[in-house]
Order: sequence, then structure tokens, then C-alpha cells
Amino acid sequence: MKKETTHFFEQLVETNKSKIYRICQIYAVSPVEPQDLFQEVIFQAWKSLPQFKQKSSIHTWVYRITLNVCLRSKLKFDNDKTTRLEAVQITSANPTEDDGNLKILRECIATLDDTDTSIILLYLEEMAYKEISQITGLTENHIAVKMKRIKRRLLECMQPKL
Amino acid sequence: MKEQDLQHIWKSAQTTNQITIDMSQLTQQFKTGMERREQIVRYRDGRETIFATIGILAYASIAFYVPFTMARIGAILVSLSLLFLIYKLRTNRKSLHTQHLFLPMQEQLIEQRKFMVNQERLLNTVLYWMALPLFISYLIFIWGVGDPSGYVLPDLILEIIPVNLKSKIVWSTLMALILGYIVWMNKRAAVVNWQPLIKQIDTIITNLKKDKL
Repeated sequence: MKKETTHFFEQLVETNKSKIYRICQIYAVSPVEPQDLFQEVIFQAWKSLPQFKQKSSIHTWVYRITLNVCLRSKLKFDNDKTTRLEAVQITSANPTEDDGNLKILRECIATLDDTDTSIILLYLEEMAYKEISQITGLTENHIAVKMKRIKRRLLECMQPKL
Repeated sequence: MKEQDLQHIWKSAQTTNQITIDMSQLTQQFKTGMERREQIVRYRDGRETIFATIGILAYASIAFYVPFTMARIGAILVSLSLLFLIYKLRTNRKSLHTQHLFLPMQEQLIEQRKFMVNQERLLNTVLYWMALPLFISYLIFIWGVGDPSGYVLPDLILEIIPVNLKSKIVWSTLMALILGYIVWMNKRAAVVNWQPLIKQIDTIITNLKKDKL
């Protein structure tokens, strides 16, 4: 890989690492840890980078890889053990006051199916319907209909718990 | 609670985790750790090819030395059957499977499904593309072997070829049992390994398509 590409990749990871990890935390189901998924996403992004054609924005591209890797892990398609990389260190900081709400939100997201989860996660990452459409491959109208139902379900789940 | 509050809560997760990545180490560890894992998959894909290649060479040699026309045709057919086996395995190998994880989710799921269905079909049809051609070729070879007493043959060939009726029956039965077992194992693998995955991916695709106007 060329030096400029490596630099570009480093910047890409630095900019997107928190977003990627947030999504991985939702999809990780024991024995797969969020860190394993996170590493896999970064690795797949690194491998796929030479194929990035700039037809979509780099962030859309990263989200596609993240969600595809996360969904694939649900399919238990790869039985190979994950290699834990020392270069990636993730530590939990002190809990914030929002942690309680965050826990409830995660619990409610867990009640959704995998595809609804993907769509709501993109919404929570403040992505426009157009971008969500580019990531999922669904039309904007389809996303809008889905989103309405998913948000309603999520709010119905959260409100009694708050 | 408003919809925007959901986004605020979600973003708060950013502050609860510290992610440190040593970039200089990362790409190096990709090569030593993650890529090695993919090499193992490639090796697994290549294992059957190695055995089949050995078989091809062995039966090609037998075809060269054996003086009986029928047995020679059988040995050539065994080599060709093994060659076809290599072709099937190489065109369907897991390491060749396009991952293209940067594709839109729907497209990627459809690609994954296509691969899984192909793998399931490959395992389910092993009787037709592997077991039967190999068995028929082997039978032609075994039953085509005549009396070698009038010929000068290498000792190794004389040891390998079944000359009398009893050994012909034993080898034919043994081959039928081995191939039958392989067919059964493959069919079982299709049911146990691939069918649940196809069902699972079908559910995901159906859920994704849900709510379409």
C-alpha cells in the first residue's frame, strides 16, 4: 500500500473509530466482543481501500463495511477464531450521567430485527435518508416508511423505562 | 421524549469508550494476524486439490504402464474425473468468494446468499459431479484388468492392480462404500452447515424488503 493511501487510511480510522465502535457494540453477541467486530471492520476497510472508487462518500463506504461485517457476524458464517490485535486498545471510561438512558436505548434497539437495527443506527448517527439509502440499497421512500415504524417502536419501548 | 433525544443519548456513547490505535503497529499486525487467518482458509481450499493432483498423476502413470485397453481407458477416466473434481472445487472455493463488503447492504446480502446456495448445491450434488464419474471410471479400470502373466510390468503396478475376481469384488465394494460415505457426509454438511444460514439470510433479506410501498 502506498504511503498516501496509508495516511488516508489512518485518517479514516481516526475520524470514524467512535462511530464504528458504537455500531459494533450493538451487534456484538457473546462470544464475539465489540472489539473483535471493530478490528474486523478496520481490517476489511484496509483490505477494500484500493477498491474505493469515490462513487460514494468515504463515510458512506465505511458505514457499508461496518454494517456488512456486523451482519455477517450474526450469520456465523466465519467460524475462524478472531485474532486480538494489540495495536487496538479499547478501555471504558468513567460512566456518564447519560449511561442509564444509553443502556435503555441499547436494550430497546436489541428488540429490533437486524435490518431495522442497521437503519436506526444510521439514523442515530445523524445520517440523511439519502445516505441511508446509499448504504442499505433501499429507496429513500422505503427508508422513510421503515424509519417511521422503527422510531415509533423504539419510543414505545423507551418511554415506560425512563 | 422526542426523536432528537434518541440521537443525543446515542452520541453520549462516544464519551464512555477510549479507543487507542497504534497505527504503525496496526497494518503490521493485519499482515501477521488477520491475513494469516485468510491464508488458512486458502490452505483448506487447496488441500483437496493436492490429494486429487496426486491421484491424477498416479492414475496417469497406471494408464501409461497397464497393457489392457479397458483398464487404460478406466485409468484415464479416473484421472479426468479427478481433474473435473479439481475444477469444481477451484471454481467454488471459499477464498475465491467475493466479499465486497463495501457494497450496499441489500446487494451484499444477495451476494452472500448466492454464495451459500452455490455451496449447498455443490454439496448436495456431489453424487453426480464426483462420486458417480469416479466410481464408474474406477469400475471400468478394475474390471478391465486382465491376466498380467504374459506382460512385463513394474512391480508397483502389479501390486496395485486387482488381478483376480475376489480382489476386484473387494475393491469395487470398498470404493462404493467410501464414495457412499463421502456423498452422505456432504449431504449432511449441506443440511447442517448451509441450510440454517440460508434460512437466516432469507429472513434478513425479507425483513429488509418489508414496508416497501
